[in-house]
Amino acid sequence: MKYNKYEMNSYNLHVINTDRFKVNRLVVLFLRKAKKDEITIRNLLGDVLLTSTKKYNTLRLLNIKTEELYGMPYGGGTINSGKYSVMRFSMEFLNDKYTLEPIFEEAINFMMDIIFNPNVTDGAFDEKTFDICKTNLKNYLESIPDYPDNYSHIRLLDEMDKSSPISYHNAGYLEDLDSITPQSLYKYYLSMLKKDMVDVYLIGDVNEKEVKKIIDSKMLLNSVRKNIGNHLIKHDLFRNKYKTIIESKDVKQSKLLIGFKIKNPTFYELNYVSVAYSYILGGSADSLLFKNVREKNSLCYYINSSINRIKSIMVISSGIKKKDFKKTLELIKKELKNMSLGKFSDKYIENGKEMYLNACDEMYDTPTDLLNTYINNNYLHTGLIEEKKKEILKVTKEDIIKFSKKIIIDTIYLLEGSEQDDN
Amino acid sequence: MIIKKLDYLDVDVYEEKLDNGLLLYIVPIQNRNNIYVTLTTKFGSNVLEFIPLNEDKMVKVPAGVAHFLEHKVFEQKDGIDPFTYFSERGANANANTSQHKTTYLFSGHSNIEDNINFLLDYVGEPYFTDENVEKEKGIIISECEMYKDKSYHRCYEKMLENTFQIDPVRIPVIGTVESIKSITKEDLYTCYNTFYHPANMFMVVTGNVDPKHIISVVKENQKNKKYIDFKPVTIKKYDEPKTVLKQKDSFNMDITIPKIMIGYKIAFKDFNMDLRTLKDNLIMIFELNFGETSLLNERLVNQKIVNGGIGYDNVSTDDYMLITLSAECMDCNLFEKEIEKQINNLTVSEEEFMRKKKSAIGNIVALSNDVYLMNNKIVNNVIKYNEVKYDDYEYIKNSSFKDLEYVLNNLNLENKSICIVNPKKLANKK
Repeated sequence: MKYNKYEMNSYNLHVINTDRFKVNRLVVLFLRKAKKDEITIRNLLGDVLLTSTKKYNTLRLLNIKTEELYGMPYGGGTINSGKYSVMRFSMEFLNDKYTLEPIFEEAINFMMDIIFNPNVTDGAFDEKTFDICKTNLKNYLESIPDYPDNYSHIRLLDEMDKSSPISYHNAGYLEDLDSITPQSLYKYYLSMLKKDMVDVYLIGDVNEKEVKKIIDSKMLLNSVRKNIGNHLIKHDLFRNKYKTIIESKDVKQSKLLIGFKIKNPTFYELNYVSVAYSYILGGSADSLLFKNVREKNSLCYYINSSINRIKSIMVISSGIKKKDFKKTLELIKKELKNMSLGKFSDKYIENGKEMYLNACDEMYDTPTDLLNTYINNNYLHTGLIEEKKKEILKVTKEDIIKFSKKIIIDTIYLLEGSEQDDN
Repeated sequence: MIIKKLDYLDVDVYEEKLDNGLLLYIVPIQNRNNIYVTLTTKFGSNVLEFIPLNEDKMVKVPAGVAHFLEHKVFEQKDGIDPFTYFSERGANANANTSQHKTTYLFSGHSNIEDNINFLLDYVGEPYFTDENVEKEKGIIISECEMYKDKSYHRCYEKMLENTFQIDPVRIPVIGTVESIKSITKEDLYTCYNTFYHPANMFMVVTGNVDPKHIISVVKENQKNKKYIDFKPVTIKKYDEPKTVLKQKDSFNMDITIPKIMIGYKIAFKDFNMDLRTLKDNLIMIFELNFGETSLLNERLVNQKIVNGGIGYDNVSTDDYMLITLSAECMDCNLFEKEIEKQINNLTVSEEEFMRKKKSAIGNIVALSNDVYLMNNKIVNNVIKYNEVKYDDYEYIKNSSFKDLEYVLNNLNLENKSICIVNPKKLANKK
């Protein structure tokens, strides 16, 4: 396996050459600083580009073309990565060894067509495509409350801090959608081409020279751009007393979420100690929360904790009965306390490390995971797989106890369901 | 030991049958680190009436018993928690139950010998008490309630309940709150003793493995275990009628956009064709007429009749396939009419058929490249066909348009049912 980075004029090309896989994966990323009022237009732009091109001017024709390319998945979307917004286009395609005719160049052309050859006439996106995508996005945004898991998560982050990028809605905001027109969207597209940082990643068993030539002939970018900065969000404000928000909805199961901010973590804490911490607290079926809240007290089917490194937050979530809210909360608090007192066996730390090492080895197994380790390392400096494996082993119990004091409870959010216990 | 080749894909499968009847399928996949191990019993939620091993009378067990059993198999007499055991050895453990099977699994490449032994041991040694059965009920009812808040899931359950009259496929895999409450330790033992016999089970190992080593580990593990002789279990057959129980249904939920599902119950006996070819062609007809590359889907999206597109799904019993079409749409009646028009005018073209074939080849190559997908393929083959299909590539290459036309010409879609989920608060609609 060999990794090469080529600095082209207006973008970076990263090639990971390996014969591990029967498929290749191509990812094109556009990055810029996240701004709340740009999320909606950026998200809509991704949808519109992926829905029609000049050459394949409906989604149906795009789908037909991918079937001709042996039906591998393609797609994309916009996500908030801490302080940055990342628009991603990706596709997988078979290595030519497994196809009846060579498809390598055609597959790359297909992806590049989506990005650089949009369905645009007279300075505006195709009205029909635009209209469909706008309606879909509107419907999606309106129906967010229909999905309690996602909805309660969004609500929790909003309550934690509405102005911070931690709560930026990935899909955007209804109030920003109305004013977008096919013309304004095209203007935004042009500014993205001109100003965004662009990275192209390709993983597979490829001829690097040929790849460079093909991709460079398709990347229609010319201006030089600045390198991006740090994605990580740092918190300055912490609550003395946590906030409790209770809302009701006509659902069977109540959702309990607890949001925490992490106060001044070191790089090592955020990348490694947090992994061990969250694993022990609520990262597996062997965790303190799972054992005590679910197994011992039968209060729920699921309960877990997860740490978002980029946002520097932790969220505990569970589905419970309304009447069990207080009891569940007490049990969770007790386990949080046990964490900070170091009342957990050293064995848990070893287990967490062992799991992490296995997960690291597993990252070599799919083009997506392997490629993502390079992307993350480039943007977040999280280290490549072998480095991660070395670093995790250094975590100690003292590290975890110290880290637990930096996890500050911020908001408790309960989406209260109905209490009936019937069918 | 027999070594079989998956044609075209550079993959070998090692098959071994143990003296006690346990079947082993081992697939080394080059350049992978991970190992994925599944242990499956051919016992799922559809089995509710059967003659227990070494008895002579049919018994009836409460709905959801297979899934309940899956939860309780994790309970060990010596108090060792399987999740803990596996995580101490770097592996991720889990289990799942469907209509036709229950699978116990782990993934992770370290301590593979210990982990395989433990998987066989913990699944092989049940420990059910009145107390631990009672305690599990709260957890499973909570799981049941979680699903009730998922509108697609609930609509699909309603669809099965309305299209099938007597086949247990009509009851949710998890059961109902009442049936879960009624499950006893005795029910669990009856099912366990009958269906968790090695001769009714199989293990699939995929990834970074040495097949001979794995076979010897499993043989050694099973050597000292005593099992009574296995006789094929008599499971009640249901003479499910062709017609559906209820043609139209609806319910309300706290959602924003209405959802509709239309289900077609198709009888295999309407056709004279092997089941694999028949099922694949049935799905193909719906994919071509309603899928992402169909003109109808494009038009309904363009005219904003549906939001996002038409979804489709299928489930099979011994005698029927239920194919469902679903969508989010403001005007469900209009959607229904559009679908009806297309149903009365189904078409297929050879050009599209050839394109779908290419796509299917892409799928099997991708599958042979992935530790998890490869394992799932084998499990599904054994459950569906009682054997692994080694000829996927040839089968796809040789599939003929004539077969597709034959299925289309003999297709009867009269037996259908519709289910609509309406928003509770229509007044709040913009």
